[in-house]
Amino acid sequence: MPRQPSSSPQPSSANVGDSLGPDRRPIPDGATGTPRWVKLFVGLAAVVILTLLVLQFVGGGQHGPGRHDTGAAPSPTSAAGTDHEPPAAAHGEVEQP
Amino acid sequence: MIMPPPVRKAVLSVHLTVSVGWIGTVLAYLALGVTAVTSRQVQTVRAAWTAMEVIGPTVIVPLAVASLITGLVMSIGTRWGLFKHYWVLFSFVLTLFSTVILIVHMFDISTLADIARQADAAELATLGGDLGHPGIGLVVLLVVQVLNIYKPKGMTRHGQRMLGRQRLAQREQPMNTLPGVEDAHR
Repeated sequence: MPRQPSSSPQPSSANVGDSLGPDRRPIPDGATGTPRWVKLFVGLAAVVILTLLVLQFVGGGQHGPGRHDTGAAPSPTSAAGTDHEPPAAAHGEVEQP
Repeated sequence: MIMPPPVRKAVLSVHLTVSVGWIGTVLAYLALGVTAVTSRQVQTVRAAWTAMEVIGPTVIVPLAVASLITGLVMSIGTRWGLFKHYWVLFSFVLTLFSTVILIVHMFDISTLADIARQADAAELATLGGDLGHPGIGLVVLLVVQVLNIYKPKGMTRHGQRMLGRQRLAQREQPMNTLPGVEDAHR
């Protein structure tokens, strides 16, 4: 029995998200306008970024290794990856501040 | 260019492997970071920093780059496209952002591991750990994973324009070129 031509070439959105991928399936129907989840997503991202910026500002702008500065900056040789002996007095327990 | 199904499945397999692997290694890295913060043994703290310095550039960064590249191939090589659907676009932006921050942060970790190797017990106590970056990174990766699993609906304006053009082309297509009609004539 010959196949009947489809009366509607419009894809069905019911197939969206199948793990088999989109190539054997119709493209999901494009709803006009920005979906609510996108607005929520962008809003949350903006809040998170602003919070991080404020924290950075309040924290004095310290970021990176300088924030952990203990006065034990590596020597040029150790920074180049040279092995070295650890200080003899540093094999015990970490002193809690 | 749309990939044929066997190629697509192969790329998808690699993409899934490296992406989930990336999340797993970040968890392992976090465990090392927690150890560096909580342990009171000097050697353990030094070992944790050294391990972080090793697995960062040799495991986590390659997985991140591989995830980014295979994700790009998956989007461009299928009909999802890179800029058509919001979930694909957001996944790409978040993955790119995470990869760049990760690579830049590895230089900091190298410096900190050097400091940890030379610091005495008192200095190690004030060194802290590396929990912020991997913690936030893990959340971002999980968000990307959820987006990729649920694939929430929503097309960008670019995607809607492309879909409109495609539908217009389908309407203008002569009836006898439709597959069903062609079969009926045989």
